[in-house]
Amino acid sequence: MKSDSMFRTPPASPHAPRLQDYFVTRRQFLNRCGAGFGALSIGALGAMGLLPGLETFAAEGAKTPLSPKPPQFKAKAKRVLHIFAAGAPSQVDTWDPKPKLKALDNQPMPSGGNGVAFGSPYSFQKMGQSGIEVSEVFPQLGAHIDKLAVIRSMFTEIPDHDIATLMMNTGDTRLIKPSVGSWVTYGLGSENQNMPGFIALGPGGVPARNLRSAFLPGIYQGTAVDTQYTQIDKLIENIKSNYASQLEQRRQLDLLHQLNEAHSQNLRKDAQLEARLEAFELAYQMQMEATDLFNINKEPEAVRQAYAANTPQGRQMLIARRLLERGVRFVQVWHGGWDNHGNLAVDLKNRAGEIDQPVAALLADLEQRGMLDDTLVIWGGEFGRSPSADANAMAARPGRNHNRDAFSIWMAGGGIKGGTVYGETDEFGARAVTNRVDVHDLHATILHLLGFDHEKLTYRYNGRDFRLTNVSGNVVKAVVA
Amino acid sequence: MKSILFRFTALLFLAASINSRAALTPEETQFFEKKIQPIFVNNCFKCHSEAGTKDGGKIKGGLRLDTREGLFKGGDSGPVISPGKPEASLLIKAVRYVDNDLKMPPSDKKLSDAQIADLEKWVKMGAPDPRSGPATVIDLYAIEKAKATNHWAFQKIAPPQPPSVADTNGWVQSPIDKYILTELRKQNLAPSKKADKVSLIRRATFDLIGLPPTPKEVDDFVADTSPEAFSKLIDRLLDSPRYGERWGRYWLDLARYADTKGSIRDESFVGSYTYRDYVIRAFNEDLPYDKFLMQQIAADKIPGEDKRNFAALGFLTLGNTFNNNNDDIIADRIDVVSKTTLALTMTCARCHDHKFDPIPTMDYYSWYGIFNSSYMPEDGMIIEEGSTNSEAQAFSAQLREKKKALEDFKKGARAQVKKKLFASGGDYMLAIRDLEHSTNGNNGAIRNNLFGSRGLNNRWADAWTAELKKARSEPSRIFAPWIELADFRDSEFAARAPSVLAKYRGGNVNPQVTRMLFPAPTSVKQLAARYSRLFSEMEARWEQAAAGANPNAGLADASFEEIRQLFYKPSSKLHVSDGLIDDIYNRDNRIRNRVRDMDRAITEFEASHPGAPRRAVVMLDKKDPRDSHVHIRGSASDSGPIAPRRFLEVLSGDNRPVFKNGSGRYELAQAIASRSNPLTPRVMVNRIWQEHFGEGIVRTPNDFGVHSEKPSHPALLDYLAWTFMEDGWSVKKMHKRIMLSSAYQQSADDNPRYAQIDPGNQLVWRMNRRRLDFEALRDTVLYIGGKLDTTMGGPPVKLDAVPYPERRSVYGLVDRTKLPGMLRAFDFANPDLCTGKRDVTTVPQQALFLMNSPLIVEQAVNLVKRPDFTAMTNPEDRVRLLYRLIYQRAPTDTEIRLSLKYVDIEPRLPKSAILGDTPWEFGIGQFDTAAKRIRSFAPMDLFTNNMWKAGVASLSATGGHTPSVAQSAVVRRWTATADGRATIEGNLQHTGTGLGVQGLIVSSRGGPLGSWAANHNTVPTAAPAFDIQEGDIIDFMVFSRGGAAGDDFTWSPVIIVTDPDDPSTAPQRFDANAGFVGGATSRYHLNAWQKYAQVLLQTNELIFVN
Repeated sequence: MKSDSMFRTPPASPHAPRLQDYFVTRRQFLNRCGAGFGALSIGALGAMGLLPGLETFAAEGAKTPLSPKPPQFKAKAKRVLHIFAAGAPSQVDTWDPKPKLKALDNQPMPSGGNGVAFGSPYSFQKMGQSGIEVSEVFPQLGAHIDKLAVIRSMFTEIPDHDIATLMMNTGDTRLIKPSVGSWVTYGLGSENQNMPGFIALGPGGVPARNLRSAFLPGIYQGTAVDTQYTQIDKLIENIKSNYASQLEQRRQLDLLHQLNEAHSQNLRKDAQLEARLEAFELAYQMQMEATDLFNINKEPEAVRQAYAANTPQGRQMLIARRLLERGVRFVQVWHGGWDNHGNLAVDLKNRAGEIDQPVAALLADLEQRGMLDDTLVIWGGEFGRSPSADANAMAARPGRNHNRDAFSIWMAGGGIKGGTVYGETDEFGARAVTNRVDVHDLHATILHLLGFDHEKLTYRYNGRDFRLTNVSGNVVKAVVA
Repeated sequence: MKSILFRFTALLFLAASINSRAALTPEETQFFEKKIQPIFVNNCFKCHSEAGTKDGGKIKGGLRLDTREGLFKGGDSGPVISPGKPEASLLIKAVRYVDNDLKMPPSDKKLSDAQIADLEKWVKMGAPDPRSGPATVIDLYAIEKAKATNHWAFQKIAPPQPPSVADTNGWVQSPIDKYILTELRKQNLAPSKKADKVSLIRRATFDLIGLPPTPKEVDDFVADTSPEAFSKLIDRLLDSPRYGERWGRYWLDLARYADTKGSIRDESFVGSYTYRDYVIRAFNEDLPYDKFLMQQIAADKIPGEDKRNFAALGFLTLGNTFNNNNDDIIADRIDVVSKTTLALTMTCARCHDHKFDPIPTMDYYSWYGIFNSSYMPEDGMIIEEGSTNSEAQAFSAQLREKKKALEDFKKGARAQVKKKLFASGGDYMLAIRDLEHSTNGNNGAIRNNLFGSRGLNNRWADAWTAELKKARSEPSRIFAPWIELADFRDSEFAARAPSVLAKYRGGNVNPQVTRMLFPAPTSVKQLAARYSRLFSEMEARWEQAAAGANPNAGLADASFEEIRQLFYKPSSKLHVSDGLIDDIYNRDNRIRNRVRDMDRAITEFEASHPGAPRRAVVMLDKKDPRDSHVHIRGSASDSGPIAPRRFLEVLSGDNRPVFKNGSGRYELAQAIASRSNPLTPRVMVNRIWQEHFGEGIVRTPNDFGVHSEKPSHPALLDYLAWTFMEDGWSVKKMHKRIMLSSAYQQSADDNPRYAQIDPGNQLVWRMNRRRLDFEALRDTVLYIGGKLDTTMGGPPVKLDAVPYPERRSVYGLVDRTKLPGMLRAFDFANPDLCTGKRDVTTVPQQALFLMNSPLIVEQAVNLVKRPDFTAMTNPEDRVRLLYRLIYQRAPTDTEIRLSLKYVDIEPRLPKSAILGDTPWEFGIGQFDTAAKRIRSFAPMDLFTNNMWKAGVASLSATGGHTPSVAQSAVVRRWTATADGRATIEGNLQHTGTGLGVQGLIVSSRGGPLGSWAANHNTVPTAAPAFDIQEGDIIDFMVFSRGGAAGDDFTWSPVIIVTDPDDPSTAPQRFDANAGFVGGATSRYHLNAWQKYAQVLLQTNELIFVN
C-alpha cells in the first residue's frame, strides 16, 4: 500500500543503498601531463624540475546526489527560471484588463464589493498574433506575448506577504516544507557539478525560509546570492581565499592529496574518504567557475546593453541566463517592490519598467540560443490586489490592498503553449471565477513540464511519503503545448 | 478499541444505507469474510476505498471495493466482475497480470497464487458479498493494530540472558561481546583485531568529549600497560566537563533546540540558553535518564523541584513558534516528545489514524489536550537572580535605560499624536467640506477613501462630521463663519468672503475666532489653516497652564477656555479622549514599527547580556485544564469525539487511566519515564550505541514503529535497555559498559571479504570509521591551535562573528532562520526538526570552508605560532610536532619527505595574485638597473590612517611619501589576473616641498615601461599598449629625487586591459584608487609553514576517526 514512487528514499535495509552510499566515486589519478585544472602548476613545477612525476586528481564520472537524473517521463522543460515578483503585483494593471472597473473609477464598488473602485491608470493594447491585451507598463515584454501563457485565475490561501510567499515557494503556509527548487533538484539533480543546483538571486538577499530543503538532504537547499554585490566573495560564502593564490592553493591541494593518499594506503578503499578528496577538487573548480559565472563583464557589450545590465534587474537577469546556460537546474530571481498600497499610478509602472526590458531581452536571448524550448520561465507574485482603492493606506495617491482571490502569472518556454490566456476573474478582477488555479495546481504543472507526476515525486520522511503538492494539485493542461 | 474516527464515518454512511443483496448461505458469507475481504483490505483499499483515500487521495479509476454496490458497479472502465465467469471478469484479469496495461495491485505487488485462486473461486461462486450497502467501512487501523501487537518494540523487556558462546581466544570481555560474537559466528565471520592504543585513545576521546587527546595524554595512555588503563581513561573523560558539552549537543539535536523563535520575525527567546546549559549539566552530573525526562516534561509539577531545573522545560517550549499558530505549536511539542523519548511518529495521527503504527487520532488528541492545557508564560521565569557582580549591575542599569527610553518614546509619540489632533483640525473640516462638494456621492467607502488618502483618522473625522452638522442647525460661536464660507466654490471665495465676514466683527462669535478672520482669507484652505492654528494656540496655552498650579481651573482667558471646552469637555463631540489618541497611535505604522523595534532590542538585550538574570522558557499548567475534541482531518472547526487526556493505547492498554493532575503533563512524564514502558529505555540505549558505533542497533533511531528497521541484535538491545534501568538509568555507566566491550575496541580496518557479506557492518565485525561533525571539527581545530576557550554556559555567541569567538561550538547561537552557512554546509541538525541522526554529506562547500574561511586560516596561523613550534628550528622536528598535535602520532618517512619538500620548495615557487577584485599590493622595493627589473619587493606591514607605512614611506589610495633612502622606492604592485592587452593612464604629481619625485613603471616580463620626473608639477604617465599574461607583475615605483626626508606625491594610475580575441567585451579597468585595500580587508599570502599547517587541518586523517 505504499506509493510506488521511484524517488522514495531507499528503505533502510542492510543491503539497500543509503544516502551516503551515493557518494561512491571513481577517483582517477591522471598524469600531470594532461590538461585540466592541474595544468597551472604543471608548468611551474615542471619548468623548475622540482617535482617530477607528480600525480594529481581529477573528478571524472563522479556520482553525487546532485548528478543529473532522468525524470519520470519525457520532459518538455529541463530547467526553470522563476522570476518572483515579490509584494503581490496588481493583476488589473498588468495582465488582466478590466474596462468595467475603469468605467466605475472613483465610484463606490457595486454591491458585494468594498470601497471605491480604482480603475487602472494604465491602458492596454492587443499585441502579437494572439492579440492578448498587454498593459502599457510592459511595452517590450508585450512584444513576446505570443511566447507567454497568462493564467488570470490564480488564487491562494492567506493574503499576508510572508505566508503567501512561503506558500508559493514551498506549497505550505506554515509547516517546514522543501521549496519548489529543492524538489526539482532532488528529482533531476543538476547539470553543473561545480555549482549548487538551485540558486536564488536577489538584491539584498533572499529570505532563507523560502529556499530550504526541509527534510530533503541539505544539498538540495537553495543558495541565496545577494546580487547587490559584485564581488564574488560576497556572492558566495568562502568562494575565494584572501590568503593564497590559485596557484598556491593548487599546490596545497596536491600536497593534501598526497598526504591523504599516504594515509589511506593502509585503509584500503573507502568511499567516504574518496568522496572527500573529490569535494576538494570540486571546490577548487567552483572557485573559478563561480567567479566566471557571476562576472557579466564577460558578456559582449551588445548583450549587456540589451539586458540593461547596468540596472539591478538587468544584471540579475543576465546572471540568471549565464547560470541556466551552464546547467544550473533551478534559478530564482527576486524582484520586489510590488506592494503598491499607494501611488500605484507611478510606482507600478516604475516597478514594471525595471523588469520589462531585461525579461524581454532574456526571452529573446534564450530563444536565440535555442534554450527557450526547454527552459521554463515563470513570472508572478504571491497573491493579487483589490480592484478598489486601498482606504487604509493613508497615501495621497491611490493604490490597492491585498487580495488572495485573484492574481495573474505567466509562463513561457519549456513546454508552454504561447499566446494563451487561461482562466478568468469576475468583471472587476476581484475574484478568480473560471478555471480557478491554486498554488498546488501551479506546482503540479511545473513538475509535469519537468517530467514528473507530482503525486509520484515523493520523499519518505517520518513514515510518510511527502510531496510538493501535499494532497492536492491538478496539472493545468491548457497551458501545456 | 475501535478507531472512533472510523466508527464516526461509518455512522454517517449508515443513514444512506441501501440494501439490495440476496440472502447468502453461511458458507458464502464466511468465504467472503475469511478469504476475499482480507485481500481487498490489504491490497486494494489504499486506492479503492473511502477509508484508504480519506486523507485526500483519489479513488483510483472510479472503482470502490469497500462497498458491495461499488464492487458490482465497477469503475471508469466498466464492471469488474461478471458473477460466475472469472474469465470474463476484469478483476481476475487484472490480478493475473496477463495484460501489461492492467496489473493490479500495481508495482509488482502481485497477489499470491493462492489468493488469485480464491478470487477466481469466489467469482465462480457468483461473487457472494454479504456487505450491507455503503456503510461497510473497514477499520484499517484495527488491522494495523492487530499486526502491531506482535511488533518487537512494544514487547516487554525481560531480564536478559546473554547467550553462551565458545570464546576461543579470550575476545569476550563483556556480555555485549557474547551477543555480537554469536551473530558473527552465524555468518562465519570473526571480529576484527583490537585497535592500536593510539587509535583507541583518539576514538574514546572524540567519542566522549569531542576533542582529540593531547600528545601527553597519548603518551601516558600508551605507557600505562595495566589492565585498567582503558577503564581509567574512560573515567577521566567522563569526569571532564567537556563530556556534557559533547553529549548534550546530541540531545539538543533531538530537542530541535534553537535560540530564536523562527516564524516571520524570528525573535530571540529570552533564556533559551539556560535549557542548553541544563542539558550539559544533566549529562555532566549523570542525572538519571528517567529524572532527566521527568524534568523536561514536567519540572514545574515535581514537588520541591530545584527552580534551576525549570530550565529543563525548554525541551517543550523552544520549538518554532509557527507564527503563533497554536495547533502547529502543539503538534511540534507532541512530535518532539514522542519521537525523542519513544521513537514514535505521533504527528501522523493529527489528521488520520497512523497508517502503519497503532496510534489512533484519539491518542494524538489525548496529548493535544495535555499541551493545550499548558501554557508558556510570556516572560518565562527567572530561575537564578543575576549575581551582584558588575555585569549584573551593568545589565540592570542598561535595561532600565532601555525600558525608560521605550516609555519615553511612547509618551512622546502620544503627545505628538495629541498635538497633531489640534494642528490638523482644519484639515478635517476641509475634508468634510470637500466630501460634501464631491460629485462622487458620500457613502462610507468614498469617505474612508478620502480620509485615508489625506492621512486623516476615521474616528476623529466622524466626530468632526457630527460637530459640523450640529453647527449647521444650531448657531456655533466657533464654527459659524466656517459654515457660511465653506459652501462657497473655490472660484468665488476670495471675492465673496470679505463682505460676508464683515458681520462677524463684534458679532456673536468667539473673539479669538473673530480675531483670526481678518484680514479675510482668500481661500477656504487658508481659512481651514487658520482654524488649525487657533486650536494649536489654545492647546499650547493649556499645556502651559496645566503644568502650573491648578490644572482644574481651566484657562484664564474666557475666549480660549470656550475653545478648550470644545475639545476637553467629555460630553463634547470633539472630546479628545485617551481612546481617540490610542486609536490614532495604534494605527500609525511609523510608531508601531519603532515600538516593535525597541521592544525587540530589549528582548535581544535580555537574551544576550551575560549579566541578565537567568531566565527559563518554561511551561506551566493552565488553571482550567480540559480534554480536546478530535479535529477531524486536522481541522479544528470539524469536531470529532472528546479525547480524554491519557497515555497511548498501544503502551498502556484499553483501560488506561485518565490523567487528573492539572494538564496531565506530570502523569505523561511518569508514563514515559517508566520501567514498564519498553520503548523509553530501548530508544535511549540505541541512541547511545549509535553515537559510539556510528550506527544504531536499530538504524532508524527516531522510528521504532511497525515499519522501522528491525534491530540487528534485538537481544543485545534488550540487554542494554535492561542494564540501563538496573544501573539507575545512568548514561555514564552505559558509556562505560559499551566502551569496555571488545566490540567497541575493534580496529576500523576494512576486510574486503566481510564487506561483501555484510557491507553495512550491521553485525559489527569492525568499528565504523566516523567523520567528525561540525562541532567536533571546529572545536578540534581551535584546540590544537591552542585557542579553545573552555568557558562554560551563558548567552550564545555568534560563531560567524569577526573576530571569531573561541568558545566551544555548542555555545554558538542557533538562529532558526539564519543558520550560518558553515553549519548548513556541515549537516548541522535542522533546528526545526527532531534529529536523531545527522546526515553525513560531502559537498564542495565543506572544502571551501576549509580552504578559504578566515576561521580555518587563523587556526593554521595559530598552529605555527605556538611557542613549542616556534622554539624549533629544525623543519623535521616541526613536522613531527604538528603530526603529534594533529594526529597524535609520528609521521612516516614518506610523510616527512613530502612535508619537508613542500615547505622547502613552496617559498621559491611563483605566487601570482590572490584571486580577488583588487590585485594590488603595497611595499618598498629597489630597482636593478643592470637587469632592468625590480630587485626586491617587501610588503609594508603597518596600516594606519588609511595608508600603508614603512618608516617615513607610505602609500595611500591616491599617492604617498617616498622613502628617505635614495635607492628605495614605494611600490604599488599590480598582478595581472588574465591575459590581454594593456594600456596605462595616470598623472604623477609632486605635492611635497623637496626636490621632486621619479616615477617608474616596470613589467616583470618586459622591463621598464616608462619613467617620469615631477618637480612641483604634474606629468602624465601614459604607457603605450603592451601585451600581458596572467600572473605578470606591473610595479609602479616612486623614488625621491634627493629629498633626505622623502617627498610627497599623488599618483593613482589606471590599467586598462582589453581582450584582443574578443573586442566586444568591455575593457577591464584596474583603478589603483578604487583597488586600494588595507587593514582588516587586506589580503596576504600565508607563508609556507602556515599553508602546510592548513593542509594538515584539511586531511582526511583529522576529520575521520578510526
